[in-house]
Amino acid sequence: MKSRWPLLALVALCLAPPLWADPPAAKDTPPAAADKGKTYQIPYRLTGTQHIMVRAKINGKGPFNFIVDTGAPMIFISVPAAEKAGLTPPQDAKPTPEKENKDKKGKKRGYAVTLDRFDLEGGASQLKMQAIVETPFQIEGMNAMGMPGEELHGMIGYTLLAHYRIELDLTRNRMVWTELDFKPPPPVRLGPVKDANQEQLEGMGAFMKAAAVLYGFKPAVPPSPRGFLGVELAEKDGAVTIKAVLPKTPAAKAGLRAGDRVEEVQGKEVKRSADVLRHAARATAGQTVHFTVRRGEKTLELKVTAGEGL
Amino acid sequence: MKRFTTAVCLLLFAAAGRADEAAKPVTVPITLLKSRHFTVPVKVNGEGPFALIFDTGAPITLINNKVARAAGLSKDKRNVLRQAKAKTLQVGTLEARDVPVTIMDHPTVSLVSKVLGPVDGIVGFSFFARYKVTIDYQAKQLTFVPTKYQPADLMAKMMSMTLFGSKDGKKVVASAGVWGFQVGKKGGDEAAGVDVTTVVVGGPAAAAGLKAGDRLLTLHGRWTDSVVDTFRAASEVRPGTAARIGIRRDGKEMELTVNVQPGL
Repeated sequence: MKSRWPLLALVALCLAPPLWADPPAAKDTPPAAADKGKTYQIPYRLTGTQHIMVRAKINGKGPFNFIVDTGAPMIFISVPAAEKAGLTPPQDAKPTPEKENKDKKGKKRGYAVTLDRFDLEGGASQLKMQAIVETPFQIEGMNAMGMPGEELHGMIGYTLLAHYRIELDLTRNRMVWTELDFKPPPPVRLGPVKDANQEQLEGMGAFMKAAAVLYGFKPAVPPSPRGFLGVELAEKDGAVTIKAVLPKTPAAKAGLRAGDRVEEVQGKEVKRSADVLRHAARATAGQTVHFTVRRGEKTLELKVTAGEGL
Repeated sequence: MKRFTTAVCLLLFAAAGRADEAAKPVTVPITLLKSRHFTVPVKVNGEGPFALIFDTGAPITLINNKVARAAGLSKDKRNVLRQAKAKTLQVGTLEARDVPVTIMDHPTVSLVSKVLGPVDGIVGFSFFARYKVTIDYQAKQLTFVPTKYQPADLMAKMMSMTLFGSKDGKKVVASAGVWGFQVGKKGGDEAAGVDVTTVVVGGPAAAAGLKAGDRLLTLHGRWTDSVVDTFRAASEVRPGTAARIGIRRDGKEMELTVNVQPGL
């Protein structure tokens, strides 16, 4: 088991929970797609776990990170994300049956909501979308271990995806979504059957959380921005020169000048402008970037203290 | 001479024909289940077809023990969980070679199968990432065009634990070019966008007309709701790009075009 648990973890990441309960009946009929035929460039990132992650705003709040998941029947929103988005269980809401048993803390989980609007980064948006608020065990486990590289907040499945023709090409960092003139038939519940294996799989979430503590894995932390120097570079005849030094920037204060030939950055050789960026890639604001430049007959060592900006 | 030209033309046509054939899209019909999963017909090592759920949320491709036995990937009566490699995996008429598969009777798959008819596994990232795939629920079809993308061996990454959370901590996100401005967001500011706090005189953003006090809403099609967001968006914009940024100034939304320069 010990050597096999990463594999089991991967298996656990596969299918979103099917609907154990009937999805809530739509109180408001979604308006007909006004934007049919319209195409959107939807940016996405591939997580460390090879999930297609997009960003979305829930009722204008967010953004939140969602996995594009044809294995999910509808939109799933994690409990913490739902709280952040200000979602509350509707007054007359019944919890989805399999969650009637409260969780260990006695807190009821799992309820259905209608979202006034759901906007995807890149411009696609749907009104009056149904969603389930619960934290799928996959998401919980992955987040605890920092596996995706960023915190995940849920999955978007069939009820949203079916409104679009979706083109995914991993060699591009944008998907192309085309709005269809199509009213997707709603999903039907599968439950309430649930066997021991399913529970074992769901146990992976708890197991991954425990493993995270044991092995010292940490949830993903947001990155820091690299610092700003204020130089524009040019490549000429196999050499990198400073094309311009922007006034009053760290580079100007350190004494770099247009026309200087960059020979080394952080003590490492520079042949192309990409080398400069690579060698300075980890310098955040306040840190020093060492430049070795050739100016006429002289070789100069200049220290640039990075500022903020881009 | 005329004959020569004709011959060259024919050769060119033939070459073009081959190129077309190499990138010819393959269409595969899908079956939408009541659970609103959908399945595709799959042959493993030439055996089948079996109905497998097509799952963009699955990092792996998974088959149950029945399929594994039929495909000669397993002699055991029941593997709880095992890795194997299918020589061929055919989805509709589309054939991929050397696809890693996981053998397991997945409980959700078994459940769907029990309630809605035979389903024997999941087609995931390890297969579909090799193609530009178009999903169309209305036309009930998938379309595949091969690309050069090589999916990483996730299983190896998992085993070596390199996938798991960064223990070292510091991650830095860098703009790919020079823009010449600075953004900030005050605590408690939950509204969309970030404040442009400084615009560097003589820089690309200044040349585009950006001003301190503008609210930056989007950069190259991405939301900029935090400072980190802004840097992440800028990390995707190669120098030399005429990049569109969306701003709000005096209550009015507008777009500017910044010519991003190489540098930092």
